[in-house]
Formats: sequence, C-alpha cells, structure tokens
Amino acid sequence: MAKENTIKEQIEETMKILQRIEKAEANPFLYEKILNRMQQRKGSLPGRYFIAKRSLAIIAIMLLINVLSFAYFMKDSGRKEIKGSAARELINEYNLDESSSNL
Amino acid sequence: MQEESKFIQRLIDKEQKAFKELVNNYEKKVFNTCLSFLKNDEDAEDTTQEVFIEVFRSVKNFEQKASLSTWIYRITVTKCLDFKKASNRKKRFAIMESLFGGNDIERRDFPGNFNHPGVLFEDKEKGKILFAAIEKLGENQRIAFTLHNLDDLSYKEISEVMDISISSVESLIFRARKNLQKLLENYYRENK
Repeated sequence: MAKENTIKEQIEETMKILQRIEKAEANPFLYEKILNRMQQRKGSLPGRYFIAKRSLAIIAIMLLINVLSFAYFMKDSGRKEIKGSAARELINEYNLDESSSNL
Repeated sequence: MQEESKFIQRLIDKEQKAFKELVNNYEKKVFNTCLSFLKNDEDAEDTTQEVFIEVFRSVKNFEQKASLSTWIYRITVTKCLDFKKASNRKKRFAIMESLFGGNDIERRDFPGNFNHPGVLFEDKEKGKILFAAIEKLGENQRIAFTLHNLDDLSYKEISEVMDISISSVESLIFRARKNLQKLLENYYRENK
C-alpha cells in the first residue's frame, strides 16, 4: 500500500513539473541568422542554375563539333571514293594499267 | 484585426522592418514550441529559422481566415513534424548502419536525454522522465498536449491550429493526460 502511494506521489510530482517549466530564450542573433540563411539561399540558387546552364552549353557545343566533323569526314571520304572509281574506269577503258601495258 | 491586416500587408510588401518586428514578437513562442516538439536545442533553433523563412515566403498566400499567430503555430507544428519524420528516417538508417558495424547512434537522438532549459534544476531528472513519456504519446495527443501544457495555447487556439473541433481537443488532452499517467506509473513500477 505504501509502495502504491509512493508511485502515485511520484506521478503527481512529475506531472506538476509542467506547471513550473519556464520559457526558454531564443538565440539573441536569431534575426541575423535568418537573414543570413535567406541570403545564402538567394545567392546559391542562381549560381547553381548558371553552372548547370554553362555545362549544358559546353556539352551541346562538343556534340555539335562531333557531328559536324563526322559529317565532314564522311563527305570527304565519299568524294575520294567517287574520284577513285572514275579513275579506275578510265584506266580500264584505255588499257592504261601498268601491268597490262605492252610498252 | 485591422492592425494585423496592415502588418500582414507590410510583410507582403517585403518590408524588412516588418519582418524584424515579426521575428521579435514570435521568436520566443516559435522557439519554445520547436523545443517542446523536437527536444533538442540545435534542432529547435534550426527549425525556428525555417519557420520564419516559410512565413516570409508564403505570407502572400495567407488568406487571413485565422489569426497570424494561429497560422504561425500551424507552420511551426508542420515544420517540427516534418523535421521529426526526416530525423526518424535518419535514425532508422543509423540503426541499420550500426548493425553492420558502422558508427554508434548519437545519444542526442534519444528524447530520454533531453534537458529542457526551462526546467528548474531540482526537477531535471523527473523532467527527463516526463519528456520521454510525452514522446511515447500518439501524434495528435502529443501535439494537443504539448501546445496546451508547454506552449499555453487555449483549447480554441489548438482547435484552429490542428483544424479540429474544440471538443476533439478536450478529448485528446484528456486521453493524453491519462496515457501519460499510465506511462509514468509503468516507469516507476519498473524502476523501483
């Protein structure tokens, strides 16, 4: 019985703390800290956006250079092939081949 | 009310002086609410900053159906609950990590170690037990109980913050008190 009473008393004592809790003080520099945080976010966002935009532009330019040089070399090798085949036809027609020459 | 509307308009107009006034008027209330919910000084200060940034950012959308104070409390409670959810996720991850031989979990994550700066020196030990028990209450009971007993909000104000009826608030607080007594009883029985 005495034990039960002690437990009850302890519960009451613990619950009573709620009435005695004082309000805690906020950081005296809270306003400055908030401004600082707002400033940081304001400053960091466009920066990040700019970096992302710049890297995208670099990738796009490199892709363009690749595509253009590929197109240029393809065109060039095609022209060489055409040139080569026309010369071969001429050699065959006039029997200008060195191996078949009787001179 | 008209005064409040004018003040809100100044905030919408991004008047820095008005923002400073807002912080000065509400910093203690917001910080104490954060402290009651998060039970950690650093987290409470961090969330307090986030609350004011959110207020400043979204004041243009504030419809003024409730008072400014109620709206700020609503943002505070939401921010605290979000913070808790995020930190619980981190805690679960830390437990997993510690199981696989990673770092030990930080002691500050356990509410049983919380030392409320407003608790008197002679009440410190019992205060820790009390806060650990409050932490075990269901979410709605915990919110209503904390706002009433630690932040001194009336039943009407709590009903506006939580968007429920006054009778629901009464019932939540009544059940919270009963459950808290049961939790304390179990604690003292086991630790005798």
